[in-house]
Amino acid sequence: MPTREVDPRFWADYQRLTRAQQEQFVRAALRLAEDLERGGPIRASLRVKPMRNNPGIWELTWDGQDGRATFTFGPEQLPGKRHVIWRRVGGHAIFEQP
Amino acid sequence: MALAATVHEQLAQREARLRLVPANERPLSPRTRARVERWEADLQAAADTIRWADAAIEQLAGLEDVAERERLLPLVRAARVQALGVVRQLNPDQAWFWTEEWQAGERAIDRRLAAGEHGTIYYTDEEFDAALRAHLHDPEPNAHA
Repeated sequence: MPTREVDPRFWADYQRLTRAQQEQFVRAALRLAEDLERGGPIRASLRVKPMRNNPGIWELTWDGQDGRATFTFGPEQLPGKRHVIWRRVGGHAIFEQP
Repeated sequence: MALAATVHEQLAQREARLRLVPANERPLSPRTRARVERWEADLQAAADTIRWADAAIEQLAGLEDVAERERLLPLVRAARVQALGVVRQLNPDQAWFWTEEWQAGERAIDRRLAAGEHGTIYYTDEEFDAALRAHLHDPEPNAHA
């Protein structure tokens, strides 16, 4: 499995999610880790894609309609293991921001 | 950062990106390509304007000439709103990323990383799982074990 790093900002966002949303994110993050470990393509349901006009930042969809999270890949921390840095996570409210 | 670690990071990012190219992808027609290029340029201009506006808003907050600050801020904010409108029009799926609130958080993270600060690193699944569980609302032991 990849090593993980969590920015303090991520935890602040995570605390704003409901318990159900947190659980959904945890499941999605686990699936991403499994796919990265396997080395094959990331399953389509996670809708992992690079942020346009912002090189290096990726988005993941953890809830079909609303849940999004951003992450980057960081320098290897353990030999042969990808390193995922979780940056931010948000639910429906992010779509209502001006 | 050591050279080897940097190359590993860059390699991983580039490989992940290249894996997104479908094996059966074919060249675009000249007409479609021109349209895509225009779409990309318009979106890039909007993203650049948003970044500029966010930086300008931060800088103007420190402007001592209050009258000038109050005159400029609405103009800069209006430009930002206009640019976000372009993103919502052309790339609605990722418009949430360009809102003022989300961008402020991303910039704060970039600043921390640029200063050499890092978040907590979890080397094993157990460590990461325990951290996620500790931050759950009403934590339940072994909820994700």
